[in-house]
Amino acid sequence: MLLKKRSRVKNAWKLIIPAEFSSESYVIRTSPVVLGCSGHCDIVIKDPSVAESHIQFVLVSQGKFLEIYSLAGDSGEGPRTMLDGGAVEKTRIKAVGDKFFTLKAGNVHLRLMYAPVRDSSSVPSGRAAPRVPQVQWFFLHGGVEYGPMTESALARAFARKELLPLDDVWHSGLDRPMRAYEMPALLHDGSRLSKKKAEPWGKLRCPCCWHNFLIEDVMYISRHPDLTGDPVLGSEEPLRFLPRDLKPVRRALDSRGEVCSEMACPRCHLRIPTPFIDTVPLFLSIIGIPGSGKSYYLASATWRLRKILPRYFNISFEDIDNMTNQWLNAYEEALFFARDRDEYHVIEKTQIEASGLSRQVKINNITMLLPQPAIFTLVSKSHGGNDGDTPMPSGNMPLPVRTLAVYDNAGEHFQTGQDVIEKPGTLHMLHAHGFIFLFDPTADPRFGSVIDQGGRDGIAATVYQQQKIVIETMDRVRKYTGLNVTDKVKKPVVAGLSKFDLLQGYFAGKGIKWSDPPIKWIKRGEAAALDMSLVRMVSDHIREFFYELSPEYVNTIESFAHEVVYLPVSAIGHQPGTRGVNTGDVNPLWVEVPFLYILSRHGHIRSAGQDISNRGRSMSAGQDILNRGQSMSAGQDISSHDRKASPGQSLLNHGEIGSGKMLNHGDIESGKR
Amino acid sequence: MGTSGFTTVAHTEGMPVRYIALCESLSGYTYIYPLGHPKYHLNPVCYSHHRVDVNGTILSVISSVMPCGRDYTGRENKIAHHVVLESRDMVPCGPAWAMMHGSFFMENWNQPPSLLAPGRIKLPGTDVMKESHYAGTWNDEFGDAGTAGVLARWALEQPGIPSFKLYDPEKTSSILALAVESMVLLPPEKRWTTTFSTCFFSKPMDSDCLWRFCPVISRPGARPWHGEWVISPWKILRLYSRQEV
Repeated sequence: MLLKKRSRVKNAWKLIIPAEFSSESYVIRTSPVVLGCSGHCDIVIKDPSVAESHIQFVLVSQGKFLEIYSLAGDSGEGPRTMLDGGAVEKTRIKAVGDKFFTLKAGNVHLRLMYAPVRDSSSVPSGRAAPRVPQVQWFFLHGGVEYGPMTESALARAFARKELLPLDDVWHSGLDRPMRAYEMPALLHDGSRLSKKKAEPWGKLRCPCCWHNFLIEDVMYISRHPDLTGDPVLGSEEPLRFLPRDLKPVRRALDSRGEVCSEMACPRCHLRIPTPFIDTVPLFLSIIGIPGSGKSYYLASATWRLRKILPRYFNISFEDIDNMTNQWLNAYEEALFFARDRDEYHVIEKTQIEASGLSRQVKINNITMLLPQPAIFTLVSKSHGGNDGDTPMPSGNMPLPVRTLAVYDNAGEHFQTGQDVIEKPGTLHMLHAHGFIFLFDPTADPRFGSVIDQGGRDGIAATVYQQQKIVIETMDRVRKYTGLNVTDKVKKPVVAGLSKFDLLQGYFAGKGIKWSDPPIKWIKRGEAAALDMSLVRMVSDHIREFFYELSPEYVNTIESFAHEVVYLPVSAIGHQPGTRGVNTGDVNPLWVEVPFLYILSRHGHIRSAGQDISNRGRSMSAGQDILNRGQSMSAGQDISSHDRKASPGQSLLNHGEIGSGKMLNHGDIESGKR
Repeated sequence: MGTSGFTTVAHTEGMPVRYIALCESLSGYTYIYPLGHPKYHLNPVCYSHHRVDVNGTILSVISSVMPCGRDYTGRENKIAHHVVLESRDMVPCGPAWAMMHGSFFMENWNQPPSLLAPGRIKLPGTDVMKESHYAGTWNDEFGDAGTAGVLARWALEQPGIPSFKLYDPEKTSSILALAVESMVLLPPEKRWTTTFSTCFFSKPMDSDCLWRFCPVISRPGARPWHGEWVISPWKILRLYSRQEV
């Protein structure tokens, strides 16, 4: 389909150059295009009146507009670049069929028009994968050449993600390599996984502006120091460009001949880490009022996931690169890298305009602040059971490699009136694969009576109806996705009871003790699973607690989503004092569980016990939890703990939920990375 | 206009919405010393002058953004006060002088959100300006008054190339005075085209920032400078205090 589309006649900007300089006109297909007398330029006009780099053309809105920048300055005898008789420094012209624009570079007269042209960039049929069994293929991935192999072996490599869409593939009959995504055979035959769960190859989503674009539209970031000044990012940023000639190992040449490897979104021009382009992303939205502890939670949760996922689920959880996650690394260092136990640190209140968390861009002449996500790679260390052939216990078919993007928004950003085009930073919620709402009990006076006496003194006197945040989220999701008012989001939603350390005394008074995360070994030392039965039981208790004190919150959040679990979390295990967090006392509680739950719902980690989604609306108030949990997964003696679990008993104490396969407390400690 | 609790709490009556959005985008502040740090009070005030093209009109925005105790959640607060000026408002003494001697920036806001009366702020005119060209603050702080002229010369000769001035906020607190003394050396018509920030971390999208005074510190508990950092081909001036020299 791609090849067919490319071979048709379509309109494009055409620059007609005098015959003494060129025998043919130049079609502006990529952006930017530089005209000048230097041999480095895209359009070379050897005339003494033309500057080395004289004019830059930039396509806007798929060529509906053309921006013309004069790079030549003023000669002292008048402007050196003229358009339709007027001097030009920077201008934008609209594509109008059959209309000529006269352009003058120095003393050279040019004509510019938007006219039908045959797309010479169409890939010759010979370049597509010829289905000849004898052909031996090669591909280049990570600087390593693989092959020779048959086409079906190539497809298998593609399915296993050993060969990625931007990798070069070739065989002896090709005059130059092609990219893997240009092979329809790979797309149709090789990516069974992507057809089932993932977004189709070739379609990418920017983690900063969430623009959906084709892989062939990925821009590269210039490296030559002369090529600064980007129309979207500002005068000091390296220019972004669409490559015409790709070099092996995903490199492109900028217009000054430097090899470039960093890639960027074609809309917002912000850098996209290369592994993000190669993988299918998961987006997570963490939502809460100002002061609900989102930044602390995020830092604490990711820190714990770095330990938990490799250790129990055989999944590595790493920063996608050293640059992207700097702000989150700084959070983690503040909480977990204390030189001594008496150090105090704080995580700064998140500002919408914070320089590390957002970037200003200019799109469609609107200056807007786009968020900078933290991105992690999730790589299944052994594909055992997860290579696409074996479904997970949940029945899902996970991918061996994914990326996880999370955002740290200011609480004010979720409030009514903040959804403006200049600050689209919360729109990740439209693409989120899961939501974590953090409920701050200290901002609801009805929770005052259940908060531990010792914790009440240091609490700021804030009051906020937190269902408003959920309503605002619903509004935004419905507004942008066209969701009907009666429709519910079919994504996992976690209602996190934040600052749970303040409520431990209350729950202890009811005989419910705090204990380890709900993880149990399937095979000790080799494979663990999220104990969904325990998650469910805890969720029922927290929901009951919520319903008693803040029923409108429960009603609102359950009108938003089909599937809500209620989980307690405490990012640091105590309340920070006026000096900040005593790093020696940091003891996160269940912070990783909402993440694990969402990952399990998407089939990326194993779960054991009854699937919550099968219970329908069983989480309603007052229902007897003893009647649930009838159908456990094979080999799990969980029904026994269901019999034991009743209100007033220690539901969170693993020792009482005895299949003997639970983790000991010492298995998961909050230590250094 | 000012912000408190990280939302706009006051603006001049009749101010275009686009100006408000512009000012909010200039209200970011990076705390060098976090709340609770013994040196929290040494967080520098960020005075800045930016020039912005809004629908073909060149505006000057002079701003002060500074820490302001705790907000309603008990965390660090800031107050940002911006004054948007059109060409007729630009007095000859220049933006740095006007900010230093105008005394119009608010340092706190304890009232409900409200509208401010138009024409409330009058910038000091030429008559109050002492056209002294002696850079006493440069001399006192760094032992060389001539450095003021270096900045002025750079601004005149290469107005498109920004320069970075790295300073230690524990040793140098009068950054605005340094900017004033350098700006005084410029011809009056050049003063309002010279943009600057006394606590530079990142350049706003819509404005240049020619003189970038960057607080640099690497002591325990202080936040490292992690702004965008491109050295070549721009100019770097590391400011050592008199004692260090």
